[in-house]
Amino acid sequence: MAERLCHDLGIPLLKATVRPERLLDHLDTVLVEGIDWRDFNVHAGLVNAVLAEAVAATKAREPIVFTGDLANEFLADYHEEKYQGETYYRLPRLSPGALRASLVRGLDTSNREVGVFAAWGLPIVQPYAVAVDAYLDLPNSFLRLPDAKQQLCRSVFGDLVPSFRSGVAPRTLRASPRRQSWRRRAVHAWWALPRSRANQRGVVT
Amino acid sequence: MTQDDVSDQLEAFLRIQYRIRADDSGFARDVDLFEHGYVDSVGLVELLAFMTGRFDVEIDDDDLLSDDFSTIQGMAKVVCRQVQTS
Repeated sequence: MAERLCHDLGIPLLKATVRPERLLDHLDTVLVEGIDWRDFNVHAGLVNAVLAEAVAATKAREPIVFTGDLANEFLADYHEEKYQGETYYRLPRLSPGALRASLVRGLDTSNREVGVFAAWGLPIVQPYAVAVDAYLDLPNSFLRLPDAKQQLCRSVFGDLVPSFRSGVAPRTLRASPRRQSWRRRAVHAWWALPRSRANQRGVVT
Repeated sequence: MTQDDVSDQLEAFLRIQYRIRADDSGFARDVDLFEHGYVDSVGLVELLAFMTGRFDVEIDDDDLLSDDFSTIQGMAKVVCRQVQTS
């Protein structure tokens, strides 16, 4: 998937691999800079640390990291996990809107991306953040759809998302007036990024 | 049930659930629980489950994202308002 995306975006692919025992070398950095102790966030922070180390090692001039974080919070796309008969991360019966509000509210308490990449001197951009108001306007009825994320992605980006990525063939979803409004807002949010930043060579995580 | 009653129960829940020490001088009922790292996203989900179970209220999404809903006092105010309107 990464190779295909890089090919389509016309950017070089940087592969970062690490042995399990080396992964934990970053634990102190992640705990301190990530300001988080939840196991799933520490795990994500460790992966980010490996990526940050690999990106920093390229010594690229003015690197900038784009990440896909926040989408799960904005779309309340978190679920219980079952593993070997055990259920982890149990969630109470909340409406998707209430769950989303809780997840968004808590974002201030973790620095698993910004802090960890900053430890290697790398600035990051979380593009989903620029459209936060638009995401928070999504109603419960939409959030309950099993393919809400795919529908939204297709509605906003249309044919720019290749079918291999979304699992939905292009042009199968027609944008309603409401959806077209979403698209305008998202595009506006993207252009609101400082142009100097937007023109920099990027790294996508 | 007064606002102070609700505050008492919320504070007790938070102190036990998140192991906040009795001598933690930074913890107070008017402290922003998120900015100061006492409650994270999962913590708020747990707190919300406690509130709905204990006080039999449903918190509106707008209230969840309001400035009020960042402190114990503010949360108690929201809970009392919901109880009165339900």
